[in-house]
Amino acid sequence: MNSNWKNIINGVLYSFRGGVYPDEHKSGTSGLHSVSLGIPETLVIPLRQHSGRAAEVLVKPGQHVLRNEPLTSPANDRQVPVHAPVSGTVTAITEAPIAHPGGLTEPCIILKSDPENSAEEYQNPSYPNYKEIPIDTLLDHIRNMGIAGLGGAGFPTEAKLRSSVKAQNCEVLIINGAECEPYITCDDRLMQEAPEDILRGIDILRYILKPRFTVIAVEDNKPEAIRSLENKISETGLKDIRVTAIPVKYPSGAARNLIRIITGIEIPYSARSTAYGVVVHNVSTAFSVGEAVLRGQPLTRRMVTVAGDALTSKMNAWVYLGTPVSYILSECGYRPPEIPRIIVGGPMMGFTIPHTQVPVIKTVNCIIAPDANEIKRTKPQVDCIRCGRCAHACPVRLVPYEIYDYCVNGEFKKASETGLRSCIECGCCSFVCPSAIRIVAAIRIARAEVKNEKLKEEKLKTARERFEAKKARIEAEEKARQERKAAALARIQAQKNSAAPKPAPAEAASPASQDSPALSAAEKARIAREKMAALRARKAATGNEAAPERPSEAAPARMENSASENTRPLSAADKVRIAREKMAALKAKKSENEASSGTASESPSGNSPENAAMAQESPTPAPVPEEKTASQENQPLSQADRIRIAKEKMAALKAARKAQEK
Amino acid sequence: MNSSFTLESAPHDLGVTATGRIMKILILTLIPAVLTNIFFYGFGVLINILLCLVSCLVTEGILLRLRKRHLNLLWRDSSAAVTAVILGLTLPQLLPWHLSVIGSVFAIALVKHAFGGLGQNVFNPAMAAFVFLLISSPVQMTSYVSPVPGNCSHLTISRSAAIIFGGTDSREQARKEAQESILESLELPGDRNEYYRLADSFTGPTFLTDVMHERPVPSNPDASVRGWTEGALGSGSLPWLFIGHIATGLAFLLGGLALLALRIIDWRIPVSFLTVAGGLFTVFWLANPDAFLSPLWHLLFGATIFGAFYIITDPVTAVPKPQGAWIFGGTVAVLFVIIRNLGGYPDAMAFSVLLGNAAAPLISILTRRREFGAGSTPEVLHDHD
Repeated sequence: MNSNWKNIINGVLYSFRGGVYPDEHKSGTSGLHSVSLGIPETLVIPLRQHSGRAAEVLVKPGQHVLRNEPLTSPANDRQVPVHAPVSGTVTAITEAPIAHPGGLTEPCIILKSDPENSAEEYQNPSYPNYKEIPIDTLLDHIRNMGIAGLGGAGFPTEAKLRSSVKAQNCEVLIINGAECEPYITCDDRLMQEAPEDILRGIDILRYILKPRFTVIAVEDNKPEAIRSLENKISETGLKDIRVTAIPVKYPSGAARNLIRIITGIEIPYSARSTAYGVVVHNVSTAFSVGEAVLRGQPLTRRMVTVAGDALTSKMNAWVYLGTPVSYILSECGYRPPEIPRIIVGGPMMGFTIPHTQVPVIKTVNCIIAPDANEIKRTKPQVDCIRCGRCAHACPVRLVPYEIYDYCVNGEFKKASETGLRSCIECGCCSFVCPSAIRIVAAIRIARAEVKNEKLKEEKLKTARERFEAKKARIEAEEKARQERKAAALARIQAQKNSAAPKPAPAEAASPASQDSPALSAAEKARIAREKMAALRARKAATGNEAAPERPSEAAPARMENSASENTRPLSAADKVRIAREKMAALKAKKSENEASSGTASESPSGNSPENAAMAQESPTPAPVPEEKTASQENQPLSQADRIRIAKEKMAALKAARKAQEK
Repeated sequence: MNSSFTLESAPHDLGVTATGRIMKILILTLIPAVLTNIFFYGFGVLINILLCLVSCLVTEGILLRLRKRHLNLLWRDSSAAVTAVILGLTLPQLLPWHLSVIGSVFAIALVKHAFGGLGQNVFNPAMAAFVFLLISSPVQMTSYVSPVPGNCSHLTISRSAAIIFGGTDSREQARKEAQESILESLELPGDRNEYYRLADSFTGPTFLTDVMHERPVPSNPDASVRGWTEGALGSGSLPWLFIGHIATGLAFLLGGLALLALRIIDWRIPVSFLTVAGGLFTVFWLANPDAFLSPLWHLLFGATIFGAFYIITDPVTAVPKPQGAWIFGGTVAVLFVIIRNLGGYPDAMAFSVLLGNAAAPLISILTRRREFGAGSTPEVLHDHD
């Protein structure tokens, strides 16, 4: 057994560097028995009361719900459901202000409580014989009961447990009853009033995690709590568990600092404590795990310390989650001082809220209504003299004045290098700063900036990736098109060569001597067509509008001739080519000229692309189509004609494109 | 219910220590030292301090105005007052007034505000001003009053003021009166002439300057620091000198311990400085006692104690990181010993502090704290046996 283990079992403590000793202000509430606060008329239940995403809403506005009925249902790990604390009617599911320093709103379920809170309640399963239940079922149950860490962070309890169960390496379970922040005494009261329930909860956790040893760590300013827990442990005869009193020092309740105190191990902020075999849960969390497993009671109520000299009665109150802070304050007799402040959480890490119409959620452990001079208001700030007090106070062993310098000068990269990410925002540096510099505030701002920057960068990255992908796609398409074109040209050339192998030498001279006897009639017709098409294209390009003069007019006459002569059947390859050319022409037409897209639908006749091209070229499409249709009516088109028409279309389109480019 | 509550960023609770309070406590802990100084060196010390105080505060006020800062910073951070008191205590007691004023203005305007004001200055303002004056008017700056118990009744306020502020005639007149008064009061045992040789006037080079001149050098290989000090001790004239130095040294030590007890200064810096300096002085002394003074004397004379607690601990120009503080104190100590034992200036505090200040940012960058958990391994608890 190594020395760490010996010390854990014997309760020999380690210490951590840094930390501060603020005034405790705990005596006002630690001795008072907890009070159950009533049911407010309206409860505002935020969907998200833990760290993670909100679960899916199960209820509809207007729906009546029973006490303990689940209102949301979790779909994945980090989701934790919320339950109806009291029976009532869902009046709305809407954005409502939550307890946040910026007065942020989040989706909430507004629950109007029944005037008479009936005894009837939703029956959630319970497992009093939990030792016979598979661990997986228990874990699911813990999640379904909405349990999240009640110490302040609100980390889903089930997720924490499950990661440790998966790793199967829990060596030490630490139950955190340190409660190191000033003012807060709710865990203290819970340990004094319900040690048995806490121990039952701890036993369930021990059944799930199977640690070798369990330590309940309590700061030594809570002797009553320590005594009551110790008595209960000796009564129940629990083994491998001890209550360890740790010296008062802020922030010894921070998980990693507590682990250091108990086990002597320092777990870096970049690592998970499960890897080191240590799991830390808050006493209140252990309590609610017990309630959930043994009684099927979901997390709908918690103990909240209500303190501060601006109240006539300070107390530890059992509060239904969703109760507005204003309700609690009026119950406690709040007399606003000249400059009113309401702090949610402790004076070191809590935050002030802009108004009191915000609900209590799972992570709210304290509400402080200080009198005018009770908690020191901001001291006038002077320049940093680099006295190093912040560095000596920092429990993470950072050098806050350095980080602060980087933060306020916008050098976030350097700030990150010097430990911006490891900061736990405990507030020790600001507390000791003689120049009253708001170091933590600056660090928070810098962190937000860094986060923003990262988001921006990611956005930029995805945008760039998308752009690159699009560019590559377009290039590939263009390349493919070029290849097709080249292939088509090659085919045409090949066809030409095969169609007229003999007259090939004369072909060069053919334009000059059209009547050359070497040329067949079909060949002549083809040449003529090509010439015509070229001419027409040229004219279209130069914007010649004299449609009647177009050679196409003459086409039908000649076509008749050629049609009769050129009746040779087309090869299959030719047919494919023709079809492809037609398709290409159609496509091109569509994209180029949407104005005359109506004509595209007439395409069976095969002349519409030409029409479209003509319409684009000149405002007066003129008699051409009419004439054509006339000729088409006269006699059905032969395949050769179709080829011709298609070719003409292509030529016209090419010309049109050229014209457009110009 | 009131719907607009005050917002402030966490933490809401703040400690009591304030920068202004630190500075004021620092000044208060110097009171015993100031009183002892007045007793042994006359009222020139007090006049110097007040003179520096006025000129420092006026300069600070003007510069705060120029930099568009609030004038209440004069009181709130009180840093100019600290500079003034430290400068006033280090300057020769009967320094002509204009030098004190020039030094003060230099310290505040050029050394401090030109670099960005409080917290931004690279060099200790008081020490930089001291060196500035020492280099620009070396004669006046090396002429200290020899400590005589009850000097406050010889160098009275009026005589000191006449020497500091007066013209040539009134200055000479006051000096003459003071010297006669001192000689009458001293019932010197042994040979009076010996005393005159050592201190032909009531002001003159300090003990350390004399020591410096007694070092064996090629031109005078027979000189011996040990022989000289033993001779001086034997003459019976020096004990006064020692008593004066011991008393002021203890007064500074008292204040310094108070600072440590109140956690105003970082204990690492004086501890590391005194340890390293003491060790090095011992090494030098053991190596050649004829050439070097014993460490005890070194710690007693000059500004060693004062500097260890009040000057090098100036947070702005030191290294506030725990590790850095050790290194910084040691660095200054090494420079201090080298300059004092081998250099051409009798007291090395000002120079070594300034050199240390110049090195401080580098030390600060090079010393990184080991972050919580850095380098720990997950195996500790899994190792059961």
